[in-house]
Amino acid sequence: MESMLSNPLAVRILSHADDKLMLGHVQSDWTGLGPILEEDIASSAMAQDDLSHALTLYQYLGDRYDLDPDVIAFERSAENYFCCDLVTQSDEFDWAGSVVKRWLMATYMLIVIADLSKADDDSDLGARCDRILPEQELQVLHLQRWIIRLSNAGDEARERMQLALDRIAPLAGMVVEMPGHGPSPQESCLIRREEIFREWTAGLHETIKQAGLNATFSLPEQTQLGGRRSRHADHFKEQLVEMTEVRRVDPGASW
Amino acid sequence: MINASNSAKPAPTPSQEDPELLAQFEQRISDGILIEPGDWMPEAYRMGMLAMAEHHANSEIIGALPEGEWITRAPSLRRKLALTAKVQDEVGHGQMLYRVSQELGKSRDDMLRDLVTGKTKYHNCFNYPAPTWADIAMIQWLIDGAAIMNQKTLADGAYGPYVRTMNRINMEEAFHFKSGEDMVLTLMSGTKSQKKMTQAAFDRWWPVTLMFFGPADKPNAESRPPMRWRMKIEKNDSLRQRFVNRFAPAAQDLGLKINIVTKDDQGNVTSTTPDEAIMLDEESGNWTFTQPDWDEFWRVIRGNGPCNDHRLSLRRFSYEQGGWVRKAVGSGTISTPPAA
Amino acid sequence: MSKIREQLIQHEGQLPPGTPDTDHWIVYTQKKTEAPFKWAGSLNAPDTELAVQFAGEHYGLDEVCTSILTHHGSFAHDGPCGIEPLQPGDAVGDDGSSWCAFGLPRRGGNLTLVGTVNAPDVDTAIARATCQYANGKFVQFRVVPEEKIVISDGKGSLIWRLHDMTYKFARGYSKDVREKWTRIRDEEKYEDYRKEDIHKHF
Ligand SMILES: [Fe+2]
Ligand SMILES: [Fe+2]
Repeated sequence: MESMLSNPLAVRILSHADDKLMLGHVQSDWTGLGPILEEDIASSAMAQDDLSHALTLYQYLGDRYDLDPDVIAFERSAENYFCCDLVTQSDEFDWAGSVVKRWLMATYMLIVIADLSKADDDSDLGARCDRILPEQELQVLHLQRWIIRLSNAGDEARERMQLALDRIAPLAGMVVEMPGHGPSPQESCLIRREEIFREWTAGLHETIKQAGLNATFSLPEQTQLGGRRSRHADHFKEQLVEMTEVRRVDPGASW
Repeated sequence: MINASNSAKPAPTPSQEDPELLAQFEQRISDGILIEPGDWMPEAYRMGMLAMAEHHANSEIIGALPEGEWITRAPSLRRKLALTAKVQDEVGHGQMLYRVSQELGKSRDDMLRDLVTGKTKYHNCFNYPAPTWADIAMIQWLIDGAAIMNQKTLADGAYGPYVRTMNRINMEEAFHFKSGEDMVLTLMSGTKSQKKMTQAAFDRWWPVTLMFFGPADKPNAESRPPMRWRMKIEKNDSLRQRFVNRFAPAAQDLGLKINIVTKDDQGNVTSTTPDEAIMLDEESGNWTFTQPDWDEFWRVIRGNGPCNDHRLSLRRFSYEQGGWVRKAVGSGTISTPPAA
Repeated sequence: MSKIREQLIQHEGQLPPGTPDTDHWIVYTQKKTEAPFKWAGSLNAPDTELAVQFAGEHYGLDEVCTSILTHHGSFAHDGPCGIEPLQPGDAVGDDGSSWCAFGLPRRGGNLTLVGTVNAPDVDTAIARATCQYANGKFVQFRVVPEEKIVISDGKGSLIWRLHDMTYKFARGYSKDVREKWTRIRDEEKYEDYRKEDIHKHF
């Protein structure tokens, strides 16, 4: 575990896997409670995609560091999770918030997973990323269409979508925060921080325009610390407790 | 599903139907010919099938709730994925069965509203709590196991659209049941506390599963419409017996004790005594067993079970919370979809 | 569990007004390229865009699927449903527009895409489909104007996923379950118990 946590590439992979885990964790909880049965099924399928992507990345790390992927997923202490604050936010079962958050994250993930696939000479990592990417594209397309559809569907729906965006957009910049504990992160992800932010938000603005919504995204100061630097909001610790409730009943047991 | 006739509205009695058409319809059914939507059918049959499919659909989407409580707590990524997919399947079954019902003449919105206002019912077994992870294993092993037995017979029914749908649903039930078996086997091959947790969950679910098939049939069940019209294929008692024959020895081999239990209003087990009746009757080949508490069954079905209010209020929350999305989707004008 | 699920939510007053159901769409899936499209189910959606997405995320993931065919319910025109397989009849001809023809192999079975026919109207299309494809194999035909059909083959956006989906199929558990059972019970007893499984699905 320690050697994994001190490797910058592993930490970067963990940050993506943790994002996926928490996205899938929050969205899978919607299964059975969605606004339309057909979309309930669709969003649950995509929550399964996210959880599967988390699993495939944890498995990759598990193979390299000789660890059980479930141990990586569930048995780190809170400060060793590198997910951003956006994915741990509860959406309070507000569909507008859920759609906006997932759309922001899906478009971001498309860029960073493509980036990760070229990060190393390791063909196993590249192959895993290449299997994630088409599923990521599917999510982006699905969610973009929902953003545009709901924002063009009358006053109430537009208002709800705008409100959700107003609430979430200010948190968005922290998505590109450099993950890990180290004081002076000198890793490719950071060097590309501004580039990724620009590429990502340019894509967002295109959809926002089509949706007729308004939002500004800004890149936070590098001194601002969030989830990727282990400064998790309190609710993340609660989520972690909930997520590991059964495992903790009998540590080490097989489930 | 059982209790199909509970929510059926009054319909023309057989005597009001054209006797010649009715005789031809009944002849077809007794010849084992399936009914397709374009065929003539008595109004009572259409209403009965609607009530049955609607009740079944309601049960699927309410059935998604108790297990849904454990998605956030599943103990491994694979179990988390499997449970999400399982609950998603149940929503899918609900969607398909609402479609069968919609084609029989009732709008989905009306069905969802009737469900949350208590006008229509859903299966009784979902009014019980699932307080531990082992309850999830028991629901998938016992309740989905019982559902497979029941739905296999329903796939032998006479109404084409329902039969088609049932065949498709059963394909997925196979996964639910295997996943449940795998969990029960894992827990019962596990640690002492896992076994204890599993026995406690078994005590909660065994009597509920015996009730799953419904109360004893009326004496002339075969000649009454649900069975005469092949809406229902096998008697409740016969299904229950087949269930016990299969699961009682399996439970014992797993190391589970079959108990007679008493429960409080919250569905917690307050006392257990071994069910001495559990044994194989060599002559009939059947396992004998003690009947569940049928007074409790009627109490729960009338709305006074441990979780009735909880299930309906959460379902209503979902319905109300999603209203604006349905309104938006129904009324929206979409601009051209963005290029991928 | 999440707070919403945990609490007993109190509701007051009447339900808000309902919304009319969106349109009805029928979905057929193909298990592998070259395999025929078979009825999978139906759904509600307001337009083609959502219908196709919903079809993919539900029926496209229930079992292996390479392509999905969807059409609005109102474009389905069904001929009479026979008790016995239909006789072909003699409706030959090739004028008019193109219709997709689906055959129902037996009552309670699943409609299967058998091919296309040209015809000037619905009745002729059904008669020509019967003539061309009945061959003692179908009890009913459905025709749908070909131009009203949408096929998604997963090339534009994915249908069947690339990640390991064995967690959501019975076969993903069968081997483990058998192993675990036979540590407790002998094969014969296990096979006996397994008789109630739906065998073709494991
Ligand atoms: Fe089901
Ligand atoms: Fe099921």
